[in-house]
Amino acid sequence: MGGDESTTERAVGATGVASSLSVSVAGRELSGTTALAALGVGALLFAPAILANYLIQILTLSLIFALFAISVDLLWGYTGILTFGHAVFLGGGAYLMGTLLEAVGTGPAIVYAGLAAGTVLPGLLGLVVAGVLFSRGISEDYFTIITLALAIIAEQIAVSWSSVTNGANGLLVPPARVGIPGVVATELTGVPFYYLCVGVLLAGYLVARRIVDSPFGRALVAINENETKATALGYDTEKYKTLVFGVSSGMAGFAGTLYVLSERFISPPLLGFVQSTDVLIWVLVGGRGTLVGGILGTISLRFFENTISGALAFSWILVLGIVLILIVLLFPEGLVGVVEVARERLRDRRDDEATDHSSDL
Amino acid sequence: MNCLLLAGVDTELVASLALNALSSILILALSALGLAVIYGFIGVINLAHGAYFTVGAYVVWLTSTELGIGFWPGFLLAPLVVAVVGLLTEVLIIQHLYERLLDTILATWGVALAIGEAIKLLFNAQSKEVGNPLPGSVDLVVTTYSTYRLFLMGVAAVVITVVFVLFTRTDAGVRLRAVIQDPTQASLLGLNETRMYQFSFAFGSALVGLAGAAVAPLTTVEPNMGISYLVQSFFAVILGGAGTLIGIVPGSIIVAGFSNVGTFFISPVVAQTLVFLLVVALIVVRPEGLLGGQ
Repeated sequence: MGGDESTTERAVGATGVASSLSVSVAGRELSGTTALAALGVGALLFAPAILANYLIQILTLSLIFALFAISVDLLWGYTGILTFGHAVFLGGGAYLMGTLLEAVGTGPAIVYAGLAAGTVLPGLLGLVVAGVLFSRGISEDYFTIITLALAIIAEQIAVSWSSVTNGANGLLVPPARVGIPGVVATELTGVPFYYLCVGVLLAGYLVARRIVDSPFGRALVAINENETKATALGYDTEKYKTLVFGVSSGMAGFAGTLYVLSERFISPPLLGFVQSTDVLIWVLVGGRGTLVGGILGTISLRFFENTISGALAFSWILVLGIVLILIVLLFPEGLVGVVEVARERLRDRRDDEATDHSSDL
Repeated sequence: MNCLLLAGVDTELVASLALNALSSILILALSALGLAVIYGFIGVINLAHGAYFTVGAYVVWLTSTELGIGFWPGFLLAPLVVAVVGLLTEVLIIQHLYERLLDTILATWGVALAIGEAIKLLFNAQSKEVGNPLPGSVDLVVTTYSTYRLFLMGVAAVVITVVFVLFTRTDAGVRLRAVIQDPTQASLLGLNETRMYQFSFAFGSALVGLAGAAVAPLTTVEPNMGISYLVQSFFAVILGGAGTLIGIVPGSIIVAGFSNVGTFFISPVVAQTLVFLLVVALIVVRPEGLLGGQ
């Protein structure tokens, strides 16, 4: 069993790295991972005590985008579905919430309705899009190109449908109030809103973790590894791919609704291909198929973008472009992958030293 | 009498609409042909194709305004410059990814981002104008039509025909296609597979560079102008059937023809959305392409 498992994990690559931590490693290393996770959560909880207000604002938005990154990682990292149009669902959720707040009202009931609609409707749209495309067994590259076109078209529609979206100028959204409908309502901003986002991101992570560790998640990984084989093994791959796309789209839409609550402003690029690409780069840099990688990639890249990039003599997007090329060429498994490979090598060396024969090989 | 007059006006309108549609079809076909060589033959999903188009347009802008040597040197230079850009992409990046072709999507997207930003840094983000090198129009009996557009249609038609003949009728072309589609054969025959990939990539890039240069006088030149051609070229290739060169003809007619005519009757965004839906529907119904094999 052990032998089987390790070959599978190697084949999965980055995907296997994460699961190998929880599956095949016991004792010390597992507690090491737990300690790291605790450290990360602790850092997020104490950040408001240390960081200036504007940094907390940047971090709040990063947490929301990290949730978006998790939704993309479910698709791309675990199932191998590469989409260049996921911002359509993020932006869709955002425009739903924004339009409700702007046109209907800003009370708690509206906010909850917006959160629900902004999750469910993009989720349904995702189900339809993926259902139609996957039902005909469309190849991976066709799917990617169609999603890219979807993002371009969506952005154009948002620009030209100015009666709803206020066109390229963007939509200013009044501040929302949360609480108990009809009883108490208060604006949620600053540090309290930041903590809400920390909680939401943690919850989103746990949900995604739960999905990935479930039989459904194992089916996704099997599809990523070898779809033909997965079909032969009796998996209805089309159904799994459609479902995960729907779940992921809903998650992206939910992140979009939070985006509006945080920024109080939406403009068409939020659902365009540049936003869709940014999230791919965040996930790629952090490490595909690890969930945590997406969070780390998003927070660190956005931190650089918002602090260092102002000081650069050239544009941030140029840096991203070059980073993208270099990572694909040199570190296709991202930051988490690099760390894991280093750790595995260390462990292998220790094991070799322990068993001590033919260690020269 | 009145009817006749109306009919006369209509003929003129229809003729110029048809010519407009034809010229955008031919331009798209040129760009799609470049992509068909790179994507259809080698299987590289080159998302930098649109950026190459942009580079072609900037070359003629540079020669006709900044360098002051006029449009025509740029028109000849653009395919060469873009071929070099394509060759560099192949040698520096793509070559290392033939084992994992799907990753070329990301790497070439990185190239596209880098090229677009480099253009913004060098020439700022503002849109540029390229003067029409052949102002005036030609009397075509039913209508008068822009000389430059007619020239452009002629060039595109000739280039496309020559490329078809090269790849399907000449010995070298047929061998090249065979080799690219079956690399093991290539090494058995002692042919240099790496060279052939490099040649195809540079050649496909040159075609899209020419398309970009040709369009420049008809539109505004700006760093992101290539993105719509990127998507339309992919659609044209997929619709026709990747792997068949001739497929780009019906593909381009559907994609460029419909959006061009549609734009006349409805708003451009609605027209493009409808074309997008139509294309997706056709792809879903016939994933192998209109002219693709079984």
